[in-house]
Amino acid sequence: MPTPASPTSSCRLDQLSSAHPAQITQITGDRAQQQRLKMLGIRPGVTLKIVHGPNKRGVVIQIQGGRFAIGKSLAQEIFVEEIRT
Amino acid sequence: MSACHANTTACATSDKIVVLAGNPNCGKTTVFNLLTGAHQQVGNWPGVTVEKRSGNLQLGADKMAIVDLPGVYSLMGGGGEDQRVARDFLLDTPVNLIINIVDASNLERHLVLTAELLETGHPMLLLMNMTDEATARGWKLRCADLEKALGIPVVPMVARKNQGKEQLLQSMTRALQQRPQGQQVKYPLPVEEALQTLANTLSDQNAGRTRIAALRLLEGATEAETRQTQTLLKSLREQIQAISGEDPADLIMDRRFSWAQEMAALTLQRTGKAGLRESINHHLDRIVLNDWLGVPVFLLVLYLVFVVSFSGGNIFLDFFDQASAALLIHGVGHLLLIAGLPEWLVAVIAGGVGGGLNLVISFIPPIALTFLFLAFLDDSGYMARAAYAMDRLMRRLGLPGNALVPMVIGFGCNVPAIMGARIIEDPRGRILTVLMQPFMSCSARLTIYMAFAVVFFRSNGGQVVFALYVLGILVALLTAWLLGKTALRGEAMPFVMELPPYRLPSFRSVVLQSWQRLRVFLFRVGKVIAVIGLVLFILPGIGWTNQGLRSTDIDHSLLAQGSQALVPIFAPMGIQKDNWPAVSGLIAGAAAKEIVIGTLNGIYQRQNAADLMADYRHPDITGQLEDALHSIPANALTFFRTLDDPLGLAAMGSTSATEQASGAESATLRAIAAGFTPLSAFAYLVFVLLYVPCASTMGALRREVGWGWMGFSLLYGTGLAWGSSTMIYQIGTMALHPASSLAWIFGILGTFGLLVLALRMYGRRHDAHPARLRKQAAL
Repeated sequence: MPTPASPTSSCRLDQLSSAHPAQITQITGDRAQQQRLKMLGIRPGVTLKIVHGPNKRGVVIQIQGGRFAIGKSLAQEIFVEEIRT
Repeated sequence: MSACHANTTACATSDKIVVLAGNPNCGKTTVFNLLTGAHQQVGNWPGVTVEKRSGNLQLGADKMAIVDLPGVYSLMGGGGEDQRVARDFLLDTPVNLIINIVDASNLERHLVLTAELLETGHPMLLLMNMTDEATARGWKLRCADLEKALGIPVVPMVARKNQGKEQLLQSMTRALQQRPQGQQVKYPLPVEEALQTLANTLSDQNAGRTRIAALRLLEGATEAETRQTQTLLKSLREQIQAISGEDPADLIMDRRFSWAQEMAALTLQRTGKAGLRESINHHLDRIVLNDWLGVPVFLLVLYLVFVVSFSGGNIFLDFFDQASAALLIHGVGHLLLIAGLPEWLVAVIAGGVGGGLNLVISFIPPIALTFLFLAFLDDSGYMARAAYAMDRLMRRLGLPGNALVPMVIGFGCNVPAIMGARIIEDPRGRILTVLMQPFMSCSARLTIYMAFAVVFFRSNGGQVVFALYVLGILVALLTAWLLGKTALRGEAMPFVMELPPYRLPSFRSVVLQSWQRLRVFLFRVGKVIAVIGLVLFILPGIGWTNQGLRSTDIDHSLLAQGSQALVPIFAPMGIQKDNWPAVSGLIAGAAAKEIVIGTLNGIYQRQNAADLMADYRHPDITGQLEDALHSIPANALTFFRTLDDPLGLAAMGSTSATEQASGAESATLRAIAAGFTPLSAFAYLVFVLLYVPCASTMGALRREVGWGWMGFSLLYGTGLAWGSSTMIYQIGTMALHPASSLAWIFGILGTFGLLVLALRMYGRRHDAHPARLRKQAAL
């Protein structure tokens, strides 16, 4: 990918508060947990959009056609980068 | 594992096995129902498909067994017990054809499993389901291009609307002959070389399956069996790591992902913007996921389940009850008398077996509606959202949010609720969830509440029954909390769940699912009733006398003697010696709750020598059937007038209406009134709520969590039932005998304290060996 048009900001998924799409850059935490997310297609490189939250419960995201609810503790392990065009 | 695990007959007669495989929520069950229709052997519990099941399909000259599996994300691991079932089957069973079902609107993600399935080397066919949803999202599908790239047939379909069935059947016939195996994913060179080396050492007879076996080894999904393979594997992994700088498992997975991405890009062509359906989804989610509305919406949905099931069921309850009584009791009795059978035999068959069946049949409407409603809820896509809405609350009790799904199913019946706990991934959460289910008040228990409520709680029956339901939920939650703090310590796994799009469930699918479940219910109860009914007509007739076993009257029969011997155990909760039939009812209730009132009915009827013979001689069957038919519009009117009374308890005011609702004859109600006080009746109902739900539930417990936890549940539930009812009765009668009441109360509290201590010690010991827990859960 070429360098983005405007500066990007990297943050944790539970801190992302934006209607813009964001790209997952990194997932931390233990391997089993990462595996669990990967099975669902939540992995570095994919683009997501916030559907609901983030709040105390967690966050609901959309990746292509699928919606996923992610608990707060897990959302803290997912790092994203906002995509601005 | 054999293909015919649950069902040998299906496999004995059919030579081809076709298996449906796909991610969760791809519509497998709908396709299964479409293919097999009513020809399903195993009536699995809907709610969630957690078990494999099979049905027959005749296709030309071929008769085949269609196997439906739980949804699975990957063959390499992950997910709950339900996914393990699917994985084991796909890996170990020689199948003739895999139908891989993918959701066209989630193509990229679903194709990852396709890559793995192609690696199993089985003949395969790709079923592109829900093409309408992809279109609604503004995509055009190029199935022909995908077919070329994959090398297997691709069939577009909208299973929910019955579109594309013909094409699927044609493709199946062709695929069974041509056995297309498709193009497998090519991995980076070092991986391919390692796979080749591994494949050479594997002595699997089936050449087609060595690749998947090698892949699973390299990805760490299985352990190497021999020391030699272990060393080889280790060096291969290190080689790959050295060359590529990446872990082989990651390398393989990433390649599958990029392959799926390529295939999806090849297939999907953007033609327009997302349409109406997407925006409906969006708006519904804004309400359902709302911070403040999430929990109230869930409670409202539950309330609706009750309104529709109980009040709606009441419309037809009288019809089922009166019509089956007319035919099975009076009609059969009349015919048998005409046939010249002796009166006692007529009484046994018509009164015992017929009367027992009559009791079950009258409960078909509310129970069928509960099943219908739960099937609807499951298909609609709502339950995953409810789980998310309740997650924070459940987490405080040490449970994951999706533990809620089985609990809701438990209102219908505890057995599928226990099976449904398979969706919970970590073994600790699953055991906790399973142990909660026996306390959920199932529809069979309602029959007992109703009979007692009409006698003792005429003016506040609604509140009493509601209180019992709430008590059940509270005991379930507290049990999970207690065990989670003591014997099964740990954290609930962090929440992540797919939220399927909202769908209007297909009528056919919902009706079929509920019918499957109702059939199992009827069959099970019918069997128990037939046996118990007979036993109940023999036991009360014979007794142990000075001259040995002789025919006696009921008060000196074996049943009476046995029950009387047990009465002292129940004396502290207010059951007097002459009320021994209440104890008989509890014993029968341990087998099935549906027969408790039937048992009381049988005994009290005999004690009071109700003479049905006159009815058998001159029955008025047509008149009774007419009355039965007239009850439907009358009850329908009541239903619409009392929408605010979901349990249908307003009818409590009129004795006759509730009598019919509970299936008890008025003689029985009079006997109940004589044997209990309101306080002891309430204590009795609490006991009924909390002790062993039924033999089937215990069987399900044993299957899911093993003998140990089943034994615990049995003792804990019965102990808790006895302790709670005794506490209630003793607190209520404290004024009469303060000293002994206090002794009972402190005795129970002390015993409970000891139990908590024992559970803590157990937990401490097991904290050191967490693996043992995992092994138990896998039993």
